[in-house]
Amino acid sequence: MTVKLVHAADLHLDSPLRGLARYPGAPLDRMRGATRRALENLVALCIDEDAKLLVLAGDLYDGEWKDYSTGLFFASQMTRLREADVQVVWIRGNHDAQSQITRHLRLPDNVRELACEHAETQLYEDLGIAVHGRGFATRAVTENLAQSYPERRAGLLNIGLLHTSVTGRPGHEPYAPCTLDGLRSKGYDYWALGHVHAREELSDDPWVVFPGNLQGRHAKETGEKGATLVTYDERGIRSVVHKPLDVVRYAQLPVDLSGARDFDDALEVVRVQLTRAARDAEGRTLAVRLVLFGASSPHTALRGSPQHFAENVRAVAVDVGGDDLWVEKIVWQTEPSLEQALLRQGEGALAELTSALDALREDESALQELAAEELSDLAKKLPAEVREGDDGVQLDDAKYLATQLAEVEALLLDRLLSRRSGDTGSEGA
Amino acid sequence: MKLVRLDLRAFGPFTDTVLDFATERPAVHVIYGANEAGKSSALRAIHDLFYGIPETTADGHVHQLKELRIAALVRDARDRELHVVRRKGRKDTLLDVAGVALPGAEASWLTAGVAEPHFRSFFGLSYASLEHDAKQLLSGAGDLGESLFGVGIGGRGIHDVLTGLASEADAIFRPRGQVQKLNEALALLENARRAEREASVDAKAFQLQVTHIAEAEARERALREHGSTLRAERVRLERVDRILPLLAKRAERLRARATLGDVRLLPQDAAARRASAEATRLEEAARLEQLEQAIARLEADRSGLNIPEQLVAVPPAIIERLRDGIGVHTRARAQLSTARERLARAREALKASARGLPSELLARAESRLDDELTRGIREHALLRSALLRDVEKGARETLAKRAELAVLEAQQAQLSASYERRGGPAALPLLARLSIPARESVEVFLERVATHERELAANEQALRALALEQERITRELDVFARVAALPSEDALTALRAARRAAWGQLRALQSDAKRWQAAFSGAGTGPALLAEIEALTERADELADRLRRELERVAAHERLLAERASCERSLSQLQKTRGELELRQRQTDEAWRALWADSGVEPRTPREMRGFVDEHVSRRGRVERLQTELSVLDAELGRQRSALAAWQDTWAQLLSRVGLGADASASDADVRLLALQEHQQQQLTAYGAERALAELERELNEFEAEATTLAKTHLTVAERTSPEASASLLVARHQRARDNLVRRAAIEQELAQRNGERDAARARGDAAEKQLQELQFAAGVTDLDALRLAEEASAQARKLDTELEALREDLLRAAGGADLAELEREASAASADRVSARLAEIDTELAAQDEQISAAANARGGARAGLDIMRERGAADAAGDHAAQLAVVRGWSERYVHLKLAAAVLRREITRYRDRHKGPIMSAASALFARLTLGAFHAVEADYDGGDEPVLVCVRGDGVGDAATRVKLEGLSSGTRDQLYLALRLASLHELARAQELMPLILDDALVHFDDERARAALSVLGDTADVTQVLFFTHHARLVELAREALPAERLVVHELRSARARARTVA
Repeated sequence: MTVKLVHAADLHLDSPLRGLARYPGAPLDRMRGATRRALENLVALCIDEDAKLLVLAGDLYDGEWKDYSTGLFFASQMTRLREADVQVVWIRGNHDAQSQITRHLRLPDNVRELACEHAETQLYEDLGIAVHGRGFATRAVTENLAQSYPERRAGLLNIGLLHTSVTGRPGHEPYAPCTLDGLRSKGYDYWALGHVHAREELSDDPWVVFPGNLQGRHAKETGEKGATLVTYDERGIRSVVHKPLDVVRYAQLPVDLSGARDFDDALEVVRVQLTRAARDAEGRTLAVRLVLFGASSPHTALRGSPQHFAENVRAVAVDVGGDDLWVEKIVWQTEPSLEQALLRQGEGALAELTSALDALREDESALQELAAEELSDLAKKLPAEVREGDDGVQLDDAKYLATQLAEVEALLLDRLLSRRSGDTGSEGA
Repeated sequence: MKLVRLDLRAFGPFTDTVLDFATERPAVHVIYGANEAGKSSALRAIHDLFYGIPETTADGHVHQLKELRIAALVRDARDRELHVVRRKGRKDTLLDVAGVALPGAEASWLTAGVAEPHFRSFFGLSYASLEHDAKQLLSGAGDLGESLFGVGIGGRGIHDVLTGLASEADAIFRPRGQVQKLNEALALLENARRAEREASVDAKAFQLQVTHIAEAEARERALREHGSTLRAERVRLERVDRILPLLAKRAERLRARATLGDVRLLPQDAAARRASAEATRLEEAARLEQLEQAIARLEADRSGLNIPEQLVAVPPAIIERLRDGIGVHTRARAQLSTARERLARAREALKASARGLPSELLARAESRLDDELTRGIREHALLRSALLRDVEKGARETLAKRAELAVLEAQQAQLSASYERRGGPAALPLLARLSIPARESVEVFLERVATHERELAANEQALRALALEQERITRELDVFARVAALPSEDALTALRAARRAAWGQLRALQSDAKRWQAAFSGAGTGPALLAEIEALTERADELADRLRRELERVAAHERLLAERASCERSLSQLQKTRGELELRQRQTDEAWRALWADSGVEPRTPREMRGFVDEHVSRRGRVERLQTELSVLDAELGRQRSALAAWQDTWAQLLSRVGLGADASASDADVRLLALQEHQQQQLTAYGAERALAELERELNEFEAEATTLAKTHLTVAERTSPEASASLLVARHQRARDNLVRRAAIEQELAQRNGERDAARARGDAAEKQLQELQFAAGVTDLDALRLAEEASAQARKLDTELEALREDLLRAAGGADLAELEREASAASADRVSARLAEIDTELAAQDEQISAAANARGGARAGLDIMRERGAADAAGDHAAQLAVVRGWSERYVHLKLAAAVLRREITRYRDRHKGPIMSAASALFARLTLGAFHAVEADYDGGDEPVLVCVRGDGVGDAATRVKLEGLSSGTRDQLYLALRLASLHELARAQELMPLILDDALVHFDDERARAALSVLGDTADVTQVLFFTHHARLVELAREALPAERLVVHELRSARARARTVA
């Protein structure tokens, strides 16, 4: 008999999509409730595939998220599964450990939570499955939980349910550490892991899988997001397939502007790339981070007025993508063209200005001193949430300030050199 | 960087236009061109030479874009020269003379490391930019730093840039602002954060809400239960209230029924049935008597009818025909003589119309006219004149065309003679297809010859350049030769070889003790050998030392030798190329002659022969066209003549069919057609009259035969007087017999009906009698009066029974399921007054209860709605809004950071630049300003009057030191301000020249607003600037050329004139 089960983790229900500043025509409605719709997709997957069991490896909600309606929504989806005769087993992750919702919410009787104090086993004998697991009792669990997991049950498909960073993953707290060999030593057939948001198959004998989160929530969670569909029969696991379930997808779109000769040219290049991205989005909404690169003639003019260019790019996105595209951010990695680069090599006022900027870039204390003089008023007004995080405006961080100098240089050169009628040598009399 | 020569090969209006800027001493180059002479194009050409031709250029209107070429010979400060060619394109647009792309390093060298925007702003100066930039000095109130920095980048309005950055930053954020974009965004962020917090509902609040709902529901439930009890009691009391009157009525009816005693119940309709039977019995007896009388009358009528059966058997159609025939027969007999007369008249008219027509035509059956023949003859009569007209016109046009061809041939004869006289091709047989080359072939040769000439010229030019280069190298090598000989690697190698040889000899001696002793005793060679080794070692060391010391000279010498070798290689390559070019030129010449070989014409140059070919081709084209037209006309004329002949054939055939010869005219034919039509008409009339007479006679005969036959059978001999009389009698008698027949049938039908009615009346009377007897039996009586009394008693008893049954049903219905005994018990305990009072109490209680239930339901609904709101994802949306607003705040914050840092960095750099350069620039500018203002001012100074930052002031030439008047910038006239700006620009140029190679200074009519005196002074200053960098002064004012000639010595000025769009520039002084 062939049976299917679905493995998902890190739902982070109702966690907002970050970094999406609104602009006219942006597909606002498509962004709302994205994590809920992703969960609906997960439930629909279980029902459509006739899966008998859903295993959830922790982090159903953000830890600090208190809104109880989120829990009620989760419960309503679990009820849908009960009506379709799908069993659910889950463990608490680090976020769930501190979640008020988890503490108060009552779930329908098809949902079984495994204990946090000790590892335990949930048997589904009609399905031929034993699920072993242990949840997080507190937010920061630093012991190796996997060690305490019970021995495999003979004659059943053994699944280990664990919220862990294994040996550590960038951007994730090193909770419940363990090793791949340690997991293998348990003799289970499938390790259903959670906590790491990028999908990863650590091993296929036995299967050790991070399914990734259900829905990307910011620019670092790019690409397909979803769950893992596992098919097994008497001979063991027959297939392990990733199923995309996200409704909004974060993507980085590199655009080479080295061929662009002017503003319109650059916009046209962007238009072509956005059109292609919208076409490939398969009906999902893309939150696109445009990374512009290449040595180009209009570099100074574009970077000197980035907002003007951004407004045009967004208008193009609305035009070509409609509800399928949201321009999340434009990241400038363009370089000046060869001739513009000459400005730094020569002599005279401009060369001295660019040299001064180069020197400032290297001098952290001078840079911090300048920022303290010029930006202290702003620093006092900016709340911590604006200043912190990867995209934070870190006014006291020299590295952050140094990266802003490229924009400063482009802005200055644009203002000082913008073409004016009466210039001899090109306009003429 | 200097332009030695600018060759506008294909650019704007120019083709192969050369501007030669080579001079022995630095000089000002004035490029003069009237309007439309291409001055602006020449200006753009210089820019595009250095920095590339833009994608959209205004200079591709004469030459195709891909063919645009600007060539130049350029020289740097170290006299390194390079021939370059700029083409239009996206990549590899800088080429060497051979058309090979130059590497990027050469492009950088060409622009001396000066970026394009910097070149445009700093090395270019037009009257518009001079005036604009001079005004910008004012916007910063003469701030020294801003002024110097602004001039240093080519006069941007630094103050405006600073102000712009500051105001843009201010529009984004102010510490206490509210309407600025970032301030607004921060306020919205706070709102979004608060909204998220408020929208979030925690578990406890939710549970509390659930409890509220449960409580409200319980309260509502209790109230509803109490209400139900009250309503049940109310129902019971209302029932009692309803049944009390019904019970009273029932008791009264029961009593009445008991007084009637034992009654035999008859059917309900017994009285009606008895009355009906009595009436029927009487009615049917009367009806029977009437029917007997009617039947006797009908039988008497039937026996009185007479019907002759044989006549009645004659079919009605025959009698009908006979009746119709009587009228027709009378009318036909009257018409017979008239028809005979009409026939005689028609035969006479036919005979008359045949007169004048040929008898054989009348005899021929086909001579009958039909529409086709008539139309054919009439159409052909019309066609003839049109055909004749066409033939005449065609003949006339053919003659005219032949005359034109004759004229052309005569002209050709004259032309041949003319060519012969001019020594051209002797004869041009125009109409024979003279085989001369196609125009395209001639064009190909034209292009090829031009290419040869251009390549030879380029080769010549390159050869000349190489010769000059060779001379230079030889000159420099001569210098090396004249000073002491240079140490060389070869000489050092030779010395070391000699030393090794001597050392070898010494080692050989050492290995042989005897020879050693011999060599070092007495006059042996040993000491000399040692001395030689020492001398060689010293010389080698000395040479090595010199090699090291004079490394640069040696290297220079080596480079010169290498350059000479390279030069010779290039020379040989160019000479080889020249040989190849000349060979190709000869081959082209031979091919040219071969092209003409078949024509028998001795060709001159392709350019001359192109005219000849054009004229020949044009003339031949005209003749061919005329011949074609003539043949078309001939063919048309032939066709028209054939059409005329065909017409004549058809005409003859048509006329023969109406008995006319081919020579008959159209009017003859028309007369004949009319006569024939008349004859045919008469024939038709005679035929019609004959047919009418025959029809009349047939009708008369048929009628008489039929009437006679019938009369023989049905009439007596005496009655048969004539066919008409017999017919009339037969018809009348037949009609009578038929009428009687119909009447008999009607009587028989009525008799049958009356007999049926009599039988039915008899049966109904019997039935009524039987019914009366049955009713008497049922009531137990024997006569009708007793029966009527029994009927009344039965009806009263039946009515009371019915009422009692209805009352019983009403009571049961009012009881709602209870039985009658229970109802009577319930009613016996109640009184109507008590029941009404309790009902009023219950109504009041229920009304109060409804209000309480409504309040409880509202409370429950409100609590449930609150729960629904909590269930919705308001908090998630608020968190999304919060995240979005955070992104907005970050965006504006970064923009603010960029603007603030940009302004600060620029301010610092302005101060730094001022402090670093003000000394030399102010000193140079003072001297230049004094010259430009003809001594009206003698210096430019920094002044701290009124503030911490130094500002520019101009010192008048009216005194010395502090005694002189100081004028701030706003006190200067606009002209003087322009001159101050020019002084500062030139001083900055001098300052920059100390640090790097400069690009040419290009002025575009920059002095048009200077008066003559100051313009002369400015041109003199530019003369000195030419020592610093090349000065190219473009103008289309002849007056400025004159002023330049007055201001500058002849050897310091070169005037180039752009004469017209296509003329080559001419150096005139």
